[in-house]
Amino acid sequence: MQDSPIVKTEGLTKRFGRASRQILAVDDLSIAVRRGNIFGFLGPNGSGKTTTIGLLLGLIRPTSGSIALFGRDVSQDLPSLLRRTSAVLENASFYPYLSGRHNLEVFARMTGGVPDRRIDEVLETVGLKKRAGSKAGTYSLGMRQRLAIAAALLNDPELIILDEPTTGLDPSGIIEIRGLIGELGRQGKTLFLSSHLLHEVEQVCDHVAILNRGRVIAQGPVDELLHRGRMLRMRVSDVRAAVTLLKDVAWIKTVETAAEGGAVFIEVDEERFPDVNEMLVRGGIRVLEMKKSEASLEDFFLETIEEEKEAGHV
Amino acid sequence: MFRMIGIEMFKLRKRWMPYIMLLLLLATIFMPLLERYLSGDAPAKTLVLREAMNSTFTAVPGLGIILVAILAASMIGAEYGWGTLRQTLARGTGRNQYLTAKLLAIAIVAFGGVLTAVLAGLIANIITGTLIEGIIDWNGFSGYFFASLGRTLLMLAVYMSMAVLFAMLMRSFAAGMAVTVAWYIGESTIISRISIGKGWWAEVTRYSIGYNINNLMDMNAADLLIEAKPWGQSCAILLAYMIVIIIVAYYLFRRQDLTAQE
Repeated sequence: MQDSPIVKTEGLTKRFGRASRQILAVDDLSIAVRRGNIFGFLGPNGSGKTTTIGLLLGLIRPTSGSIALFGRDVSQDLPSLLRRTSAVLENASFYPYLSGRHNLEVFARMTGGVPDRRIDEVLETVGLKKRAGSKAGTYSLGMRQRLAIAAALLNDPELIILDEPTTGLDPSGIIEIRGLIGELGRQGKTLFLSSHLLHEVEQVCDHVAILNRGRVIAQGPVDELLHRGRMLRMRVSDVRAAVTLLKDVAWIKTVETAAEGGAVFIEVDEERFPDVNEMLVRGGIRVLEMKKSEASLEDFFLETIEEEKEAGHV
Repeated sequence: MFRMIGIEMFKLRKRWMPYIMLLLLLATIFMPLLERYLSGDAPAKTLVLREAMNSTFTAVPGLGIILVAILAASMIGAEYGWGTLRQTLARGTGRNQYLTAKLLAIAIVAFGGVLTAVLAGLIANIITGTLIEGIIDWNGFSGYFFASLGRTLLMLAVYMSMAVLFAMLMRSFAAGMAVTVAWYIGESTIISRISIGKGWWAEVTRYSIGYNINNLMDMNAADLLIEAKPWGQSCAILLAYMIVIIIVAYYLFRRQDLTAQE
């Protein structure tokens, strides 16, 4: 792993519309994706994921903030940076009157330097070789999605951006694509995977950022985030007093507070849960809720969104 | 750039639209000739080629403007509709490069179509001239031919750039085509009425697209007996419009946000 981020945004903001009716789609977004990461970009529908991808690819102009790809600001030479990148955009789109193969030929010629045999290879990879001669307009959504992935693999890119890549795929297709993403990750590619399917992200990604209403509300390695997810989550009457009381206890491994200070997370063996409760009560701190956090990204995601709501950000 | 133009030509070659358009254009040229041949009227002893080409040089810009508006709006607007514009730009194609390749490809196809149609008209006229056993009079032909061809191409180029701008602004083939064709027909009709009168508004209309298009159309239709109008000014005005429209198109395209719908 190298240290310089392949994708880096700082204070990225996008507002649509005129001053009186502006919509804030992306709000002060700062993320960093490092070489070799499989980076999950999570968020509910309408949270700003696709807009962020549009900003990264130069399809949308930022209102403020900066974007760097491969360590270089995109305003310097976007086309050359994009030639090292591939994207599978939401709603895979092709020329409907051209065959799948001809569509790939068009995209290969756009990129330049793609040998003809590479088209056969990528068609084989996504399992579309038999239907390559059919017009793209006759393809099902799943087939178009496969063709989009094939197009993204044509130029052997260093960075692959995937916006909801399993949309429209049947369960076996989803498993295949998941396998393909894992394989690309093992080849050392950097992947930026946008999805609202938490299970999908949890299975393939090593890092995630969670987006809500255009803002990043949590980001980091999946293991670290789920580590917090495996903790005892408590809502107490006095967070500061609870942290002071618990942080020096030898059998409590870590004590953390939620981003907005609404809850306390402690890492402790399950059999010690009653002891924690007793200690807090004796210390004059009322325990409003105790809950063992589940180890899934889905629960972590929902909890984080809930905390945001409680903190008044949603 | 050549690679991008090649891609545009490849995409266009696979569509039925340009072939249908060329057939329509050829049909409009051949119909009057066929009609003249089948009418059984006593043939003239001498075929003045310059006069005979009038119908071709009237038909080609008349229909050609509408066809080029459809072609240009389709080549720009359809990419928004299909969502392929985002795919293309996301692969590292610069916006200036993209728009330039589109404009040049449309120009090549449109101008190629005009040349084919005009040459077909010329050959057909020579053949019909031979069939009626007349003598072909080439007098004054070459000057008229090249001037009319140049005027025709300029007229088409103005509406081509207009269709590109409107299709890009409205992000739609149908809307871009409809506005351009409506502009062409509407403005020409209104201008031809107003410009007859006197007063400042009649003077202003002389600087409109429609007035100058009408002027060039008249020049294409003119035969030896009609006194030539000064058409250099019309060409300069139309050229200025075309340049302004193209600059505006580049400026707006560079600033356009391409959200997930495109």
